[in-house]
Formats: sequence, C-alpha cells, structure tokens
Amino acid sequence: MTALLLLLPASCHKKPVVQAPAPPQRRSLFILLPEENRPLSAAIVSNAAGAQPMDQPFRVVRVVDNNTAPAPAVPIDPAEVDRRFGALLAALPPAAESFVVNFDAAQDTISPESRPQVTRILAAIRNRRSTSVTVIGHTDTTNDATSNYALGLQRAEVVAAEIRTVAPAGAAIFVVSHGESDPAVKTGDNVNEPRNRRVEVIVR
Amino acid sequence: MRARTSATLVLALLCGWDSAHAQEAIAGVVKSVLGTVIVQRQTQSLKAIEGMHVFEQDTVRTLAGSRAGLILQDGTRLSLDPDTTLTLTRFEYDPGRQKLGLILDLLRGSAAYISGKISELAPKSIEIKTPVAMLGLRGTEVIVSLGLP
Repeated sequence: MTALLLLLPASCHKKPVVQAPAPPQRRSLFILLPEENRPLSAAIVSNAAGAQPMDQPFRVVRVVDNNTAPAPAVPIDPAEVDRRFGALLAALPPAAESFVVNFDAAQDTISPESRPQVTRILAAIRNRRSTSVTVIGHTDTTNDATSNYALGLQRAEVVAAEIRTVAPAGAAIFVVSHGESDPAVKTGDNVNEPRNRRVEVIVR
Repeated sequence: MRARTSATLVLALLCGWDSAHAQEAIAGVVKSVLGTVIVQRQTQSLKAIEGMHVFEQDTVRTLAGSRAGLILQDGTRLSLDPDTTLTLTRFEYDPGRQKLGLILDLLRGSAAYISGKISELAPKSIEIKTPVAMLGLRGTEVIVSLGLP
C-alpha cells in the first residue's frame, strides 16, 4: 500500500476548481494493483460469457453484465486509480502487527530480553484500540509433544494475562498452543533451542 | 469520529458484540467507520462501530458519504466506498485442519482488498463474487467497482 501511494501524486488539492462532472460509471471495473512485498499476483475475471486473466499490476478488466464476456485486461493510469479510488485505498486499515516473545528453557517465564517486546505489544493494542488479538504459544522439542502442548498454552496464557490488562472491554483474545509442532527453527527431537521457545502475538 | 465511537460503545456492547457467538467464529473486526455503516446479521441491523467483531454471513453496508475499513482474522484487509454492500459469504481460517477459504459477495458499490494468510496458504480458495462477474484471486491487491445498474 505504502509503495502504491508513493507512486501516486497527491494531486487532490491542486485540481482546477471547474471540473467536468465524471460520467456515470456504466461498466464494472476489476483493477489489479501492485502489492507490497509480494510481487507475484494474479487474478481471473469470469462470468457466464467468458473469462479474462490479469497478471500485471495497474491492469483493469471491464465488464458490462453477466451475459457479456469480460473485456481483455488493459492498462489503467495510476493517476486515474488515485483520482477515483484514492479515498477507498486510504480507508484500508493498517496491516495486523506480529510480535515474538521469547521464554526461558522449560519455563513459562518471559526472558528478560523479551520484556521490551511485551511493552511494545501492549502499546500496539492501546494505539490501535485492538479488539482482536491472537496469542500462540510454542516450545522447543525438549520433552514430549503432549507436555509441550501444555507448556505452549501456559506461555500463551502468561502473555494473554498481560494483554487483558490493556485490551478494551469486549475484545477477543484468542489463546492457542502449537506446542513443538510449529518451530521457528527446524530441529531434531529433544533439542534445546531458545528461538523456538516463544509466544507469537498478532494484533489486529 | 472518536466521540461517536464512545457514545455508541454501550449500544455495541449490548447488541453488536453478541456473546452468543463463540470467539472462534469471529471472522474479523471493523477497524474504521466514517459516517454510517450498518452490519446486517441474520435479521438484526446493527450500527457498526470501530472495534466491532464481524462474522461469516454478515453483510456490511455503507450509507451515502460513509466508508468502512475491516481486517479479517487471517490479516485480509478490506475497505468499502460509500453506498457499498459486501457480504462475508464464507470465511474459514483453520490452518491446522486445512480449512481455508474466503468468499466475498460485492452486491453494490466499490471495495478494495489486500490478501492475507488464507491467500498464502490456499492460493486458489479466494473469490470475490459480483452480479456481473466473479474474481478469482491469487495473493494480490485489487479494487472492484460495480457499475451503476
């Protein structure tokens, strides 16, 4: 998004006062935009009469109705996208934020180095007035999978308890454990790996 | 906008955040409301406020001069222009059970979409349906703007 907005001149305030009114939009538009951090994107527009692929950003497929085949994708000027849909794009909420909190070995104690991370999580929840947070506990492969599931849940609960002190009333705090099944770093069994002893927090 | 949010918070707690819904069924959150935005849930019409949860099968409708921004549980982001109606027809985000899918029905108006985790994990499971055509998506950002009837 940021990348897209930078591409588009902020021309809204410089337009001439007298402007021809935009003609009413008769056809429907399907516009593919560049996506930050993910260059490979594609879409296909299809209806009862045909289908048209789009595989490059700033392409548009126009459609009259369900019984008329979509027109082939053609380029659309980024400035036109900004003029017609700048306010719509600006209304997209900021992306969810992810955090990782590390834990001491075989413990549900947050490591001292990770305390500042907890502070950041609580600040993000306050700033975004977040009412949807997911807390996922993870362990390394020391001990068996069953006790690691329980330990993951304990770790997640420790972080969730801090989150509940700042989250708005009615907020949904999802607390889950992935145990040892979703390591940050792949290891063999019974490997003490600090990077896998963690809680992931997603703030929406 | 913030003042309005506080004023309607009590109302939202009474009817918008329906405790009958299990937490895991939450599909997403209304993150921004400009003007008047309605969430149609079965037979109920709820006035949307920032922070309100939305569920599969909810329909979000913006009135004239109003806009809304939503974020779904998988990180998918949506915004709605004025006079827009969008239904969260299907939202399944359960990577552990390989249950993944997102179907949106844009019935009227214009919406912007930025893909989330469902798109990463199950690239062919995302559709935006409209009265004139269906858009199948693989990890992307799009605008769909319906023509006037």
